[in-house]
Amino acid sequence: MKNASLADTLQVLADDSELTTFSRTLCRISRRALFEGRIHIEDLEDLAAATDGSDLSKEVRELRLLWKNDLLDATLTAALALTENARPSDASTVSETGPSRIAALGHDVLAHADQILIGSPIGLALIELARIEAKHLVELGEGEPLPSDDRSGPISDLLTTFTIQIP
Amino acid sequence: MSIKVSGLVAAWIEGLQPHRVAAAFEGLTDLEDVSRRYLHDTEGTEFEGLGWHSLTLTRDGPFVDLEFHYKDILFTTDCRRERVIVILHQRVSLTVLTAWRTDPSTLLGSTAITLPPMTLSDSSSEKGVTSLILTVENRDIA
Repeated sequence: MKNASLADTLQVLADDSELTTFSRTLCRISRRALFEGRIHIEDLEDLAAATDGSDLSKEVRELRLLWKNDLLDATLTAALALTENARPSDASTVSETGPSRIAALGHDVLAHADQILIGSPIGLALIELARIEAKHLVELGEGEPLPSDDRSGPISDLLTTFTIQIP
Repeated sequence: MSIKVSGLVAAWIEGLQPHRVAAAFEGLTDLEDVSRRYLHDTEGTEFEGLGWHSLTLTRDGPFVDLEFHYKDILFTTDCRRERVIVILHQRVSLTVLTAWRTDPSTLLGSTAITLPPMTLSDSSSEKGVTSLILTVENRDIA
């Protein structure tokens, strides 16, 4: 799936009035993060309001729409393109830019939509990271470095979940 | 001839009780050149206690490569290129992947094993399967 087609697909899903607010809001957050480099606080508020569990069975059924392999693979490719571009050519240090961090969240919110839906540690950490980025965009303006300790809590929570625990 | 295995595998084996460490290293050095050994279950073998499943040993000159499952994660060593390929049957958060890239020690979490230095050299993900390529130095075990 090409980037233009991915942006269209996410827009169509975000506009589909048949879908729950949860699914539509997630697609909107993902599209804006990937293609506009922004996360809006209002979108996160909509999402929080949508995860009250009142429409849970429909939301769970809709996960199959968000989890189409070609859709998720395309969001990953789009997000990685920004990450790769952001990496210095000598690769001696990995410097993360705002757009690459936000694009990564654009992939993560869809790929882990089930965790956001149930409010698991993964879901809560991703939403907290999105909130930090959204706040940063409003308060600090683009290009200014993010205080690094802001993200350390939720990232540490995420790492705990994904880390491979060998004996 | 000295036998080389991935530093990660050597470190993992060294986490065993001493008499088992010796037996497991012997199992690796005893393998004839250009041969394979399949162990469908670690029970009753010298590798018991490592938690590995479906273990395959392959010797090619001084290199002994291992392929095994740990839980549902597939590990494959490529000693010739000093690499370990890790296949996860899940989508990994890109935020987490970036953190792993910055500090690869967080990939394997807290463990009793003294992990060798490693870098996450590459990763790819398709259809919900994530492959990680780690660069890990070899170890001479005999």
